[in-house]
Amino acid sequence: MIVAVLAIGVFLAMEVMPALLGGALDSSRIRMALTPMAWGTLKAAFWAMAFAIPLALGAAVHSSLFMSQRLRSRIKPTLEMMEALPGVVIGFVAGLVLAPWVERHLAGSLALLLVLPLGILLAAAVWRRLPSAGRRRLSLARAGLWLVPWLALLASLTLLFSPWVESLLFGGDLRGWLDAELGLDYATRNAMIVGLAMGFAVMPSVYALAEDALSGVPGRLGEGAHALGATRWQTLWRVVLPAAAPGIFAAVMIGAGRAVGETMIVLMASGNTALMSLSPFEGMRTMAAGIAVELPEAVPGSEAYLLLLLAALLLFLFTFLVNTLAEVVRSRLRGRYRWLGGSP
Amino acid sequence: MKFGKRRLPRSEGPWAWLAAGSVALSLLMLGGLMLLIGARGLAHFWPASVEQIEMDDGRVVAGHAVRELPLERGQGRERLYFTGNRDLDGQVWHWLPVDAIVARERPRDLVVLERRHHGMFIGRLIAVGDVEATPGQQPQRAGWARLQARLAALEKLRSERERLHREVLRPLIRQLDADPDAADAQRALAEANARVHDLQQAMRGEVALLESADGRRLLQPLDEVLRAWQPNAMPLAQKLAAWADGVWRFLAEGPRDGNSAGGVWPAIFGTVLMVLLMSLLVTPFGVLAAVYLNEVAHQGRWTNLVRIAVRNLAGVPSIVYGVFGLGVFVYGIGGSLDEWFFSDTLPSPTFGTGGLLWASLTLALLTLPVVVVATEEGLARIPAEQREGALALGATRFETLSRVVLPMAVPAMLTGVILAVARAAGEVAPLLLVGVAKLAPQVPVDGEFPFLHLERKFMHLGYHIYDTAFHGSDVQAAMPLVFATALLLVLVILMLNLTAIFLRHYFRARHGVQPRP
Repeated sequence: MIVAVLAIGVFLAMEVMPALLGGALDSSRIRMALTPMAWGTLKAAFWAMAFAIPLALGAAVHSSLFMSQRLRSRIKPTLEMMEALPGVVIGFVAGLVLAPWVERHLAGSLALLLVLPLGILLAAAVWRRLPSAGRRRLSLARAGLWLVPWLALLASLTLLFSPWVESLLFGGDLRGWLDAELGLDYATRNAMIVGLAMGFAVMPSVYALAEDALSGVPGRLGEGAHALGATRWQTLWRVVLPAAAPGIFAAVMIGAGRAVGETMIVLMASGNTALMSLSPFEGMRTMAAGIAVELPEAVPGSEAYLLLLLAALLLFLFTFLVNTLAEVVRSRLRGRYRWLGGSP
Repeated sequence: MKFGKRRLPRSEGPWAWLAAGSVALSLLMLGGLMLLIGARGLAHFWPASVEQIEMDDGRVVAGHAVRELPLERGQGRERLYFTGNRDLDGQVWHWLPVDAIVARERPRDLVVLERRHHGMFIGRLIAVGDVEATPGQQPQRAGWARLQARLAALEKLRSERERLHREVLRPLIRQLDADPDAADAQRALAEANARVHDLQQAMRGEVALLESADGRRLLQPLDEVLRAWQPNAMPLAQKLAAWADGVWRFLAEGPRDGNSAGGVWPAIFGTVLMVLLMSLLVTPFGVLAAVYLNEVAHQGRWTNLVRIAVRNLAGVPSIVYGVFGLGVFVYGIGGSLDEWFFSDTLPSPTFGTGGLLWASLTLALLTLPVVVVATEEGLARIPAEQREGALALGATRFETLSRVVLPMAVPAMLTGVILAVARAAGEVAPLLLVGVAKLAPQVPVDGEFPFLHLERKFMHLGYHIYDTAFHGSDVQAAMPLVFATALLLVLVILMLNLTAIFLRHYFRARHGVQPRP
């Protein structure tokens, strides 16, 4: 078993090391070839995590603390099912359906980022004004469900009205405005699309691990805080979250490992252009996608082949480190819960 | 009072609502994605009504409306129509400005033909038969009925020809390859060839005279027509039947026209075969490793280290497995195998290139942790009393393991294998490196010894999606097909996952009641 893990590392190291040490690969060549890909990898992972972390942690908090047991046992497998969706399908939808659509409805899509959170807060404000019967029916415990149609309605309204707003504020051409005012070039397949698609793919695993960490916190801690008069949110922020923080950290690390190594989504939804820019509206090329595209054509033993193997080795080492760290943190955490919870 | 109110606020504050909103947003996105794939994937097979459009400049076009966009410059909108007739127009799409459309109608006599070359035809059927001999126009209805009868007959001839090729010609050719002088085999081959020739003659005979919406005429050999329907004249039941027929053809036929039309049968076959091989490889290893870790090995620092390593293996990106498979299996082992056993064909590799065996091995390695983790979880859930009871009754450790522990862990193993299969079916990145083919003319199983060709390349559903969507000539035309393929893949994977969830649930319900000491 452990042989299998070692075999991968040993194979990659054996192929690459002699070349590195023997000087077959010059360091300036390595820098030239790998820097754009490393940059693209980090950029894609950053946007994916920027999208996935708030969503995953929010969902984890809500389902572990606010939902009823029954609802949770339905919602959790549903969200975990997202993880099973193959990367090709997500990549295809992101690259060929979502990307052109967002390009055509750029203003509306960007407005959604603003409208949806505000819409949720609006729903909360309206909810406080409701008579108590209505409040009981639309309880916070089931808000995850009844907010769905509300958000769908908001989204369609936003898309309906965004052309007017666009013509009012940006002269009807947001792309032109971005280019002229901020100097941002808009590529159809860009980091934002990749972030959205990969965030969607990474989110379920972060969610599942964070949820496990949060709901694993011994119940007596939360009950104690409730008894002292804290609201559920205060309990979460002051008691549960500090206790579960290492688990959440581990969840985020594992998610980052996934995002760095994901191949098909990046291959299909990014422009696969080796650009080094910070702009979320431009494409990039990641190590995983580079390997997938170029390695089948590279002659074994050639310089290109060795460079790609080096990229694979870097990917392997990075995910290996991240996962080991996460795994160690998680096993420590399990010990801590046992200690905090005492013997049940 | 104010102090108390601050300490005991009435509601949870905005953050709790944002958290609830993120659940709602995730559900919305998941639902939206599934709806999109489901709707677009299934709609592809529906015989949609065909419109005939008259423009203000006198042009007449027939086709399906696809979508509408605002014009790039100026006011108004334009609509995209799928019009088919690649052989007449040189293209299958027409952008028409909405304001210039004078009339839209749905004449009942419009026909849609699915053809082997040039894709769809949309227009009118003028006559069927040996048109050049009798240039008079036949009555419409008779023409349509005759076309249907003729197509059914052609379908029979085609399957007869396929059968001859499969059952008579190929075995004979193999026999002749082995022994070129066998006289009776040569005679049989000549006879079979003559029969195939006759069949082809019989298929070639007739043509259909077609007319496009704007009146250009076209002679269409009937043996190239696969299906025909009159969407505007079809009642609902007939449309449903046509839809079911379309779904069936998609599942059962091979791809045509550079993968942009036809079915996905070879891809389904390749995916299933690869996954089967992979589970044959991964199940024994995974189960043995889990049993060793949980039952046999001394529980200490070392086994914990191995456990962490296994979880790590699950987190390594799939593309790295692909690189490993390419370097070790394909170039390493495959290259050596070629040198030892297939040196006579050498410059062209046999096992030294991507193929079924290497893909299955790579994916087996990739899914090993899934099986190990699931089986271990199942083993750990078996109450210690069961083992202790067996041991107390005088069973040896091996007997306890094989008669008591393993049978109880079977659902957990099944769960693990199903999850592994689901993961492997959707994984494409390593396959890019270790052996799928854009179009594999032969499936890796046939009647030729050794029947299962482990060195052959194969087609794969996931790769089919990637390839058709990104490397096809007309991506727009292939999109519905890609959606259908994606729907198929997602459905298969979701079914597998649901089975796994169900099994796990069942297993927990059965053994969950006894508390672990």
